[in-house]
Parts: sequence; C-alpha cells; structure tokens
Amino acid sequence: MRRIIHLDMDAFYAAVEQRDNPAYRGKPVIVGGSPTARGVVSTCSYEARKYGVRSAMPLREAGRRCPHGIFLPVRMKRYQEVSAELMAILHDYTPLVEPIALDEAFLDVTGSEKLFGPAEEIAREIADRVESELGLTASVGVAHNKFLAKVASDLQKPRGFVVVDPDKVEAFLAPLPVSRLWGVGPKTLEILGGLGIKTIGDLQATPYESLRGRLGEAAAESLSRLAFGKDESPVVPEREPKSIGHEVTFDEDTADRNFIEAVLLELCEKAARRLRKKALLARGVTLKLRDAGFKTITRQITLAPPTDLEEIFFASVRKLFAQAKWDGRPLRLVGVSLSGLERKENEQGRLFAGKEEELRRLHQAVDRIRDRFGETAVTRGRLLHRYGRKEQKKRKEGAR
Amino acid sequence: MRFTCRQETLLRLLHLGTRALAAKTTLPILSGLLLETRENELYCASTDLEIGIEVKIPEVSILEPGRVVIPGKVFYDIIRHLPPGDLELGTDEEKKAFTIKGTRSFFQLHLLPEEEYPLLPERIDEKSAEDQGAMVFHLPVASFREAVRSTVYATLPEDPRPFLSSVLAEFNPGKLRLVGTDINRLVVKDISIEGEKEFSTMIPVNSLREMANILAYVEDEEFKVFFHQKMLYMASGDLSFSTRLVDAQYPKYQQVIPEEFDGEIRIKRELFLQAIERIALLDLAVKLTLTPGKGMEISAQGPEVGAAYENVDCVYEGEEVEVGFNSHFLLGFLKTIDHDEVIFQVSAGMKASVLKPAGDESYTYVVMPLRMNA
Repeated sequence: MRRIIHLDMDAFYAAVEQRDNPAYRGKPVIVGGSPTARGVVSTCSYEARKYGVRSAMPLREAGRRCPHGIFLPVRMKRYQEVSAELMAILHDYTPLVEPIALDEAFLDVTGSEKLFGPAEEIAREIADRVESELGLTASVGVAHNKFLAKVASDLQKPRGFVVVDPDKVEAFLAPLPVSRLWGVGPKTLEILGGLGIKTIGDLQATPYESLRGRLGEAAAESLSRLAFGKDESPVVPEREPKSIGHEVTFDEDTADRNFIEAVLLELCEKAARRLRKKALLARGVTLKLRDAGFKTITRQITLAPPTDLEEIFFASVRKLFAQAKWDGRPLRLVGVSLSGLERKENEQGRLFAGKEEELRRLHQAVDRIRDRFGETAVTRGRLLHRYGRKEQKKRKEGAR
Repeated sequence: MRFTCRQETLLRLLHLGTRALAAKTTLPILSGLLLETRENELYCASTDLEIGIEVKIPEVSILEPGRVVIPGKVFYDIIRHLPPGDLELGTDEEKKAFTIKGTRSFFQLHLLPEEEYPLLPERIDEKSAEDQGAMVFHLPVASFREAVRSTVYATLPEDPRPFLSSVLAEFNPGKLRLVGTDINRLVVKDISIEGEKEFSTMIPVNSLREMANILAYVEDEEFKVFFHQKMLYMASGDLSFSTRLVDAQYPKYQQVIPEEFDGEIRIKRELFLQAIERIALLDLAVKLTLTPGKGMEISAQGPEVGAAYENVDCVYEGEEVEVGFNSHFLLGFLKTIDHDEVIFQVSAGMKASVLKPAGDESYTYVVMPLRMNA
C-alpha cells in the first residue's frame, strides 16, 4: 500500500504578507489589489473570511463586505521564493514531490517510512517545520492515495491534520458532498442532483448502470471508483515548465525598429539562458507584439530540431516579425516565449563540428562567465547599442 | 514502333529498366518509360534526372522501328500481371496509343510526348571515353557491392549537406577507398582494384545504392566506370547506368580518425553483438565500463523500465574507462561485418573510438560517444 501526503498551505499569499509585516497579523488581509480595482481576490486571510470574503470574488465586492480590510497587491516573486523554501523542506523526506501550485504538493513517502518513520509522523514533522522554519501554517492529509490525501487535507483547514484509515474509507467519504470528487463540475453536479445524489454516500449507494446511463462509461467509471476512495494515479515529481518566456513593456511606446529588434534579441538571450540552465530544449517560438492601442499580434513557429541557442530563436523571431506585417505603429510591448520544451537527452558527439557546434561551445563559455561574474559581465555589441540609446536620447534632450 | 517478344524476357529487363522512374516529380514526362529501337535492337530507359538507366531487351523481333514514351509504372505492372507467353506491342495506326496484346488480353496506353523526354547521356565505350578525357576504371563486381553495403548505412542519404548524403570515392594505385559519414560516425572501406590512376569524387548515396543493386544482375566479374564532366557512367554488357556526381568539398576525414586511445578491447563479435542487443532492450543508450584485468560491463538505464547490466568476456588492455554509446551505432558495425573477432579502441570523455575487424585493416569504423546526461 502506498503512503501519500497532501500538503496545502493555509491562506498562503495572505499568510506570507502577515508574516512579512507584523502589523497585518490578526487582521483581515486581502491579496489581489485595491478594492477599487477591476481584479479579483487572489487569497484572503482567515480573518477576512469571517466577513464573507472569498477567493475569486471581485475586489469591489470584497471592499463592500470588508471595508476596513487590508488590501494588498500580489507579490508573486515573494510567494515564489517562499514556495521554493517550502518545496526544499518537502524534498528532505522524498524525491517524489509533485507540486500542484506554489502552496500545494503531493508526497509519496512509501519508501521513506524506513528512514523517517510512519507517514503520519513525517506529515506531523513537515507541518511543524513549516510552522517553525517558515512561520506559516499548513494543512496535511495522509492516505494511501492522492485523492484521499487531498480530501483529507481540506477537511479541517486551517492547521488541519487528517489521516485516512484504509479500512474506513467508505464511511470517511460518505458524508462529504459529491463536489469533492475530482471531475465533478457544475454540469455533473446538476446531473447527479437530478438523480438525487448529493453526498458521496448517495453515490456509493447508486448502481453503476444508472450512473453510466446518465454520465457515459468513462465518467461513471471514474466517479464510482473515486466514490469508494480508489485512485491509482502516481505522484509525478516536479513537472517541467510548459513554456519559458519574457516580455517587456516599454517605458514609452516606440516605433524604432532597430531598438525593438535589439530588445527581442535580449529576450531571446534571456529565455535561451534559462533553457540551458534547466537543460531543456525548445521546439516552439512565439512572438508577441502589442501596439499602443492594445491590439495584440502573436505569431508562432515550430523548429526542427529543437534547440537552446538564442541565435536560432532570434532568427525565427525576426522571421515572425516579418510575418506579423507590423505597420510601423508604435509598440507598447514585445514578448518572446519558447514552448514545446523537452529535456535534453544524452548528447551524441559529432565528428565534424558545424556552426551550431561552435555556437554551443561559445555559449558554454559565456554561460560560465555569467554564472561567475553576473549577467552583464559579457554583452553583445548589439545590446550595448540598446543600452547606449537611452544615453544618446538623454544627450539629445540635453542639447535641446 | 511495333515488336514482339516473350513476357518473361520483357519482365526481367523491365525490372532493371524502370528502376530510375521518378516516383514523385513535378515533371510528368519523368514518370514515363522510353522505348527506342536502334540498329534492330530495342532499348528501354528511365531517368529521374539524378540517375539514368538503359537496358537492351533481347530476343525481340522488331516489326517497325520507332521511339515512344509510355506511362512507366502502369506498363511495368501490366507486364508483371500478364502470364508468360508471346506478346505483341507497339503504337496503333494513328500513333495515338500504345497497345499490348497477349493471347487473351488487350491494353491500350496513352502516349507521353516523346519530344519532351530529356536527353539521356550517350552510351560511351571505353575508347571514346578515354579519348574525351574521362577517367576509366575496371572494378570487381562482388567486392565493390560489398564495399557499398558496408559504407552506405553510416550516411544520411536525405540530408541537405552533401558530405552526409554522398560517399567519397578515392581511387589510388591498386586501391579504391569509400568513405561515408552521418556526422556521428565514419566508415572507411578499402578494396583492391587494378590500375594505377588517382582520382577522387563524391557519389550520391542513393545513386551508389542503386548502382550496387543493378550490379546484382550483372553476370560478369568486372564492370567499367567512367567519370566524365561531373557524371559517372557504368557499363556492363547490355546495361548502362549514369549518375550525377556531387560537386562539393569532402571534409578532411583523416583528421577525425584518432590514433591514440585509453584502451583496447579484443572481443568475439557475436558475444558483443548479443550482449548489446540484450542491454539495449532497456535503453538505446548503453554504457561501457572497462576495467583493466576485469573486462567490460555493459549497462543501460531505462528511465521508465529499469536497469540492465552484463559482464562480457573480453580482453581489455588500458586504463579504467567509462563511456556511453548509442547502441544503434555499435550494432551497425557489428552487424555489417562477419569476422569472428573485433578490436575496439576506446577513449574516455568526448573522444572518438574506433572499431575494426580483428586482423583486417581494410575496414575502419570511427564512432563518437554519447554524453550521458540522464
């Protein structure tokens, strides 16, 4: 039997804000932006929840419900940093950590019990360390599969700690609403409601045939398995990113083609460097252009074979730029993103070094210099010009 | 044009004569087969502009001379499906169609515009070839075919880079050397020939392969090749073949053949081959761990399947070496030769290794390792 832990941080973004700023502690903190802004609530503290504020609620609505709430912008970078610390703690117990979000992960500790003791103890220790080392709280669920562990961690939030007894799975699930089951959205919920099914217990008592009649084979099969707490899905460690990209919003809109191309080159270079750091190759290149009127054009190209060299990305981006038929109107934003990422496999040596081989060697050297002396230690001549442009402009203005 | 012949004879020769029919082409005329009478003989030819083939069809009675181009593939298929026996073929009276008459069957094929058919390189004989300044060589059929077979598998026939999609042919006194590479590996194969001339050229892999295939039908022990103005001509008996040569620079291949190694393995070929085939069931990438006095361990890790290890009996002299290879590249060599023993000279790091049949200097296989990132 597997031993799976699901860990879910309590009101993560809001909790990070409260930890970073003691003045916010014990107060309703709402992360998402100003109550007059158009956005929605990202996360709110438990104090704010008392006023009926919820995630995904429009900020204005939150403002009405909790006028004295502390409204904060989303500091994604900060949450990412804290998340990295969290994931590092989790990796102390097993390499089988599957992050679902910045604040949520599955751990398969089946093989770790010999080293660290039973899964319940590992879960307890993780929760304690999160509190003492990160100053944040988490809810954990322990079960013999991912589905049950996730249901368990959600049951007693915040600071939840629920262990599912493998012999009492049916009784454990029976009182819960069917919406807890994976794959039950509003539509399925309506169909199940029509059959008089509200709780998972109702579902357990429903003959499979009548489910299949209404939901079809695949959905019926999956729901009835989950209703009895059956789930074989594995914990898949660290998913690869789907794409790597950068975009730049100009300080002022520009129609200077030379300057725009230099920025695109810089974006390609940044993305390629990140790719190489992660030992990935990209197959797809996407160019994004947005003009002053917010009209956005994206163009994509697929490379064969995949690569991690900015020279090739930039050549594609220039091709895409030509295809985009830019009419010369000032641009507000440009972006480059690389997709179709794949892990760099074993590298086959070549007898005859081609141009690509030489570029690869060049980048190995440049990357090493940058690792040691910083990103600006080596720069392309073309990008020097880009940095130089601001200077030139200043000088011109001064002359006027 | 009009002639009679036996289905069996025609089919045997068409099998050769249609080999150069262009399969995919923007020029419809190239899908046509040329039938032509010259001096009371019937010839059949095809070309895709890269290669050209012409054969004489024997045992034919020509009733009326002429020259036609007919849909090649359909014609060949019809002859293939007819029973053995006498056939009468030729254009109808208005010269608008080509008819095939068997004992019970009758076919009528449209003609292709004969005047659009590209000029085939003229058949040249040895004397006129030499008069025109061509290089003429006499080559042994069997060992040439063998040399082609042991070279072309290590190339990339469809690659746009000429040195990967062609084979270097170096003629030296008493020796023809073929060199092929797919950039990851390189093969060098020598065969003995007669003659003292020196000459070197690049032949497209696909043409070379076709040439070797055609030579399977040649009964003589020798055949002649002429090199003239960026073309290769081959003639043997009633068959002639020509191909365009590649006008490009072949890399200095001698420079990538290493002379120093970290160690040398001497191993039974069958043993090595089977061990690699077993281990490669888990992953294409195999690792060789060589320890002086202990021999060789071959291993592989399949990320989703598991791992495999095997100790292989061999004599190893040298330093401790750990090196990865694409198993496909090792198997390629091991399956091409039929010697009992092979010599494997290896180096650690990203340096080339060399495989050779033991006691045979005529075949050298250079292969780059695989850096194992996983």
